[in-house]
Amino acid sequence: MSDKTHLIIEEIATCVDIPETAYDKAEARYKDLGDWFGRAESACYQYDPHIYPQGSFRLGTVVRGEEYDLDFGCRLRRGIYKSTHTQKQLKVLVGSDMEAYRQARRIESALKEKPRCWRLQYQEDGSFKFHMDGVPSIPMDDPQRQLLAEAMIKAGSADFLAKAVAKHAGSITDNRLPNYAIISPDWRISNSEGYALWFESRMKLAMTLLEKRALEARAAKVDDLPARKWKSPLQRCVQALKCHRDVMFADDPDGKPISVIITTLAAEAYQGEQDVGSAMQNILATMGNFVNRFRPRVPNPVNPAEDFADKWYDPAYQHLNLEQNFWLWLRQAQNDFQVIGQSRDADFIAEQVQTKFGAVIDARSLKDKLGLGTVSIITSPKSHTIVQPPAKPWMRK
Amino acid sequence: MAAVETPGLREFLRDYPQMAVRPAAGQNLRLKGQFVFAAHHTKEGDIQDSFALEIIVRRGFPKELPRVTETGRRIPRTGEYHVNQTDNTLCLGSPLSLLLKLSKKPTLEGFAENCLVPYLFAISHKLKNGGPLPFGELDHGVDGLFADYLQLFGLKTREQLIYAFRLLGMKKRRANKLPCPCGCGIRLGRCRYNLRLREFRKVASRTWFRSRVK
Repeated sequence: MSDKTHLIIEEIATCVDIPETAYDKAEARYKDLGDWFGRAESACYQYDPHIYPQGSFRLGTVVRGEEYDLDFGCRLRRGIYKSTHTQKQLKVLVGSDMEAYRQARRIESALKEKPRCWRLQYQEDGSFKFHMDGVPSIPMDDPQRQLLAEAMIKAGSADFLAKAVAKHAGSITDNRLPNYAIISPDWRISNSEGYALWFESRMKLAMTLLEKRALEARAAKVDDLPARKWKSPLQRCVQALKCHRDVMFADDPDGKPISVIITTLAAEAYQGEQDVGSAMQNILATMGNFVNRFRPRVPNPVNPAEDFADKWYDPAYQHLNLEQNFWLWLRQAQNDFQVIGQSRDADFIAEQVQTKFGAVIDARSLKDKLGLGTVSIITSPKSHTIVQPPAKPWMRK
Repeated sequence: MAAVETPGLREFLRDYPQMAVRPAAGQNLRLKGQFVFAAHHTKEGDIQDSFALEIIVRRGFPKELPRVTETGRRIPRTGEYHVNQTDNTLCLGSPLSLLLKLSKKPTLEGFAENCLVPYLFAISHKLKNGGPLPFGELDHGVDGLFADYLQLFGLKTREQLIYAFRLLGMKKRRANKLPCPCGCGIRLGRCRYNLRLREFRKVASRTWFRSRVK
């Protein structure tokens, strides 16, 4: 890839990033929900509820799409234990407050129950269409947290990071489990906030750059700035890769490599490169090396026993060819970034960016930014010489 | 073989950047997009063109030929342009001719270079200038196949050809003990024609030849 690649990837990421107003709207929704759960009249109030964003909005890796998925955690921090409550009771409790919220805010669509969360489907707000998925949880028991931290350290995490991350681990509900409606110590583990901290720790490998960003935003330190404003090379790369994936699997969305696999492998591969071009080059060249040959194929870095790629070998998903799709996507992405990086033809680059990333960039402004001058080098097609007598066309009858 | 390990995939994507991998059913590899090429022929000149194509590469590649469809509808779907009426795939040549071409460079890159580009060159030439295809064409159906294979095998009659296919459907050791199809009267193992026949064993399996005789 050329030294100009970072400019092109920045262009793509800027183009596919969601507007600041969309982030503001999302934040307002999170806050509004938090306030709702924090009212003295709410059913969850006595259990010390805490509402926090999770998923790509938390990580700052959202990409433009038809509909945004705002995930949030609803952690009840006091008074609910596995020994006193069932998963179902917790789910119903959180669901009742979300239903009351839906009615108060006059959201038309009914509250929808998903296996691990409740879904609130908002009406379209301008061009911003989204739903919010709320995941009920309780804090994990201390001995279990200790075990989790030990597993992380064993899998290669730094001691301090493992302990900091394990602090955020929680137990979540899943209505597909046989023990869903009975008192049981076996609940699913989730640690979205811990994952976000781990992702931040990877981004912080480029600390000098992030400090510069914080300074520009007049924040006293990096952590005072929300992750979405870091616009780190790693976030930019993940956004560009997710977009590339979305375009490639537009006809087959169920078969696409899931965001958490792309995000995890990219973050594992990232080595603190300061510019997005070098970061992308390294990520594409090495992210495949972080897929294990044996299970767990793509372990959750904050819960190494969990496999993000568990569907790759689940017989129920064999028809989707998920593993094959991942490797094909990676090969295609490696090729496309290389082709774009090597080209000196602004029109060709703009065309490739549009067809491969769904992002529209202006060829003329790209020419200026890339310093291609007035003389553009046209990308010529692959040239052949027909020497041997070719096969003669035939046709079945 | 996993689809991502298809020989020559990396080079194909590099050479034809407007083609891209798309999700496919089963273990197939599906490539779709604009196939842009330039080609030169001493007699017919230079052509630069592009066609919207979909290429399905099956697991058995390069022993199994990819299926190519032109999705932009520039090529009329008629016999004159050698588009199969049943599934709209392009008929780039007789199967054995194509397998022979492919065996010289058994990769996706080789398929594009030796099988696809010459066909598209000829079609592009015909679309622009009319008239017959510049490098010749075969009659449709069995007649075209016989004509092509008789030439490939250097044999004179259909009976000889069918017999040669039967021999290729057997193990070498067994076939060598039987009379040679060239009509020399000696057994295959002793005739020089044996060397020519052996070349075909490299490009297709015994089962392939047996199934063709049926």
